[in-house]
Amino acid sequence: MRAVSGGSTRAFDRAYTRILDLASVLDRAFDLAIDRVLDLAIDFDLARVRIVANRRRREASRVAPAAGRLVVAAAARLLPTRERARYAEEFRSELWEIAHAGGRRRAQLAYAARQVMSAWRLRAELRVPRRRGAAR
Amino acid sequence: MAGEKRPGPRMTIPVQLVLRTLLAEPTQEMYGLQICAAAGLPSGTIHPILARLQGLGWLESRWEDAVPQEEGRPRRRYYKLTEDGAERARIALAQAATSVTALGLRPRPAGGLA
Repeated sequence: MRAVSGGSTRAFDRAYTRILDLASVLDRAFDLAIDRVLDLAIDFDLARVRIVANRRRREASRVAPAAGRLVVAAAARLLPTRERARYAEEFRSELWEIAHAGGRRRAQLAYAARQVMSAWRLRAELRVPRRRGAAR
Repeated sequence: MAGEKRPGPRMTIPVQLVLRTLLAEPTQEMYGLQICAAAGLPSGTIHPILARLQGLGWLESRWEDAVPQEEGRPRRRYYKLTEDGAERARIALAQAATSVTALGLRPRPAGGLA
């Protein structure tokens, strides 16, 4: 009976050891899984941050359509030579503001067209101070 | 020429609207499109008025200091009433025969555009 009992105990010990080994393996696998999940979460967050950053960069670099820029450049060319560069830049800046505020192509072109239409008035105003000798 | 007072601008309704908008926050600099939106004027009308006021010395303008590459947008041209301009604008508005309010043309609050 003892021999049987001793064999049973050893068998139990072996089984117990295997279970402990298995538990250890499972524990390690669980740790690895947790690490992997955390890595994935970090990757996901980083990807999301990258997507948001890219979207913001795209929005920030959104430029007015070429047609609008050409029209405001034409409006600036109607002005006195010494003022052209300044107003060309100012018109481009405002065109960009309209585009950035969500203004559609049509709104941008309307803005550009209005600058052309009012260019003669602006030209007249810009010539007045020079005639008066006012410092600018 | 020093000390010579040049006559003020013709106080048309758009000029009055622009002056009222600028006088609402005399120390605050505003860019053209912002003034347009606040005054409720179409964009084409603002630059001739601003040029006239600047020619008279009522207004001063400057490019913003920001670097376009850093800001991600073109730099803005900011306008502000001069001290003398603010004073003269107040007087001119008070003397203006046309009452903007009576015509129901009230400037919209500033800040229509970012």
